[in-house]
Amino acid sequence: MTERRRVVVTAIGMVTPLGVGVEATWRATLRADNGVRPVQRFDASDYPVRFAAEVAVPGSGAPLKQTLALMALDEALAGGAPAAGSRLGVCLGSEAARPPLEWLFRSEAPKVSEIAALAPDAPTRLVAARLGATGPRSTVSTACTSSSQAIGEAVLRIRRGEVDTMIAGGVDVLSEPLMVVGFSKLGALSTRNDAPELASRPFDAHRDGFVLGEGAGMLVLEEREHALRRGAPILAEVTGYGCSCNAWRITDSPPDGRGAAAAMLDALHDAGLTPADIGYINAHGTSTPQNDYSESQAIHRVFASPVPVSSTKGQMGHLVAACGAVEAILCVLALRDQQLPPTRNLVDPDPACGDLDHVRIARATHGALKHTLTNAFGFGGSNGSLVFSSAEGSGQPR
Amino acid sequence: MQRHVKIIGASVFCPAGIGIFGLGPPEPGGVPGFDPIACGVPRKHLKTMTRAVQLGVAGVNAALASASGWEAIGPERRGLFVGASPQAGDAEDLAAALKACGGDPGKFAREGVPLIPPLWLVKGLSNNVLGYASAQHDLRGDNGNWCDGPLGGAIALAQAVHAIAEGRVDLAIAGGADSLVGAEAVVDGPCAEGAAFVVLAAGERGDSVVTAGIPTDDGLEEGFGQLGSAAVPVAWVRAWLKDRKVDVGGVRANWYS
Repeated sequence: MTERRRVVVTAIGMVTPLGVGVEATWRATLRADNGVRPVQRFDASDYPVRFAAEVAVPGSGAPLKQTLALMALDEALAGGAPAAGSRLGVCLGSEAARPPLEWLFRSEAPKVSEIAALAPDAPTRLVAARLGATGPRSTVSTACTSSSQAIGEAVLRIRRGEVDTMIAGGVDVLSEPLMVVGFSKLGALSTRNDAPELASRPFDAHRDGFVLGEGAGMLVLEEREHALRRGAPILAEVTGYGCSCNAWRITDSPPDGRGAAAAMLDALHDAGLTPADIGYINAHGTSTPQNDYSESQAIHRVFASPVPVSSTKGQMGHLVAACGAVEAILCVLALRDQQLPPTRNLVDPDPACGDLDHVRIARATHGALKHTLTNAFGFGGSNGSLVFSSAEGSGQPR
Repeated sequence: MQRHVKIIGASVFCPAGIGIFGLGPPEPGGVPGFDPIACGVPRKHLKTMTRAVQLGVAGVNAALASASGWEAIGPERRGLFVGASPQAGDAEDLAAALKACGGDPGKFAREGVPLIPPLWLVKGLSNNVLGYASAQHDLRGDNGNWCDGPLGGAIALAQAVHAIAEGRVDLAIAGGADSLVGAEAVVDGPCAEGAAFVVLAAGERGDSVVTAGIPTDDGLEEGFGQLGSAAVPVAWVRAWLKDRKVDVGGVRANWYS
């Protein structure tokens, strides 16, 4: 019987509301810094929500989205780009960029090039062209689950032998007028306009919605033997991917967390691990009353004993199509540095979420952390869970 | 160990017609006689579905209706894989808000926003076929939604075949839907709309099976004009319904046999 091809992470890059670059974001995440502020990109004074977690990068809309994708890519490739050609693929999580408000008031029709720039796959095409990647190229658009599923798909493609290397990740830009309006109308956003820095508070009893964020995260995934042969540093191994669908409602998840639980169990099964093996869960934890309750029920269903849990959306808001990739990178860094990132603003844990082992200040694990799990759940019902395992045993740990 | 994959059902909605009536010569335009209610699309959801999503959900319904025995497969082992496009139809719901601003973007927040329907954003989600159809048929397993233009549907089909072959699901509905009618000026050419889905299940050696090593649009039928995410699924299903064998351009039949 042929042994399954193993997939490792050999490089990472990200841009988030907490900083430009992996180390800047990671240090700020561990300190539980705040990335949520009054909107700077447009005049939000008459909008129902007037704050967001914006990146400190000039631009807006589709051009900013492409910029963020390339910034994260460039950081990931700082140590060298993978060989171009058909053994290199790209799979990103991305949604359509919203047209600038001004377009809606124009009399002339948008140009083909303007429409193409808004398309969800615009960053994917850009990244593939930049690298000369002629292998599989795809764009997963499942709302907040997009980049988690993109990483999962990339892992499956490497395991199958379609490619040796995949660029996987996600990008999104949410601090836009139409996004503020759309999510506000659904009642999904926190309206804590008087104290934005306290607005994103996953699992807290006084949470009132999520905070629009933005950013990009890119991972270079490689078949393990391929990485070893070229002497690449191995940051972690992607050992498990699980995927499920709520089959419930477009914007809600079942209160019992059945879909989320199925994704986590699927990922554990794929990794050949038991719940007791997981040392940290980076929860989806959006800070909406409904998601955090549902996810906590799912965690209780899967994990008989408490596992350290945090949601880094408390620091950086909700990066939607990019959150799965950025939070996957945080799981890789947790393994690398043996540090668990905390949940910002978790002051009064919601008793309805049960007895979770919340990480409220950064916690050192002193070499005990071997496996981490990260969740992403989206509008439309898709759920994705990924398991990352320590680089030990995978060859050349960085 | 790879499992064999077989097609146990299929649907096609295209300008040539619906089902076996959709096998005529390709031509641009709308799907004639399409009635979402008659095709099992829940009336209560119509206002939050664009035309493309209605076609997609109808396509999933028709594909499953043409298959037999799938209900015995547990919900967690049923997957749904969709190629789709961003749903521009939601822009229509902004019309009243824009009009109220009298052409001044500065008035949008105060005078336009109150007129926007509460579910405007939901109607614009690119994965609505996946969301609605999975709920309607209790499809709780592996899934995906790809927005890659004409390649989206091809990727969905290929990933579904892999999901069955690798044992991640026992039933997979896969295809794509799109509606580009009215976009002729933007894409500078004839446009069409449509949807096509196949129902895949684990099969025996020798069953008609499909996949693509790397998704390709080689097999597109140019007569439709721009068919977006539905282009490859429509070509696949039309070929399969005609010959009970898929051999469309770079898409190879009997890959796993």
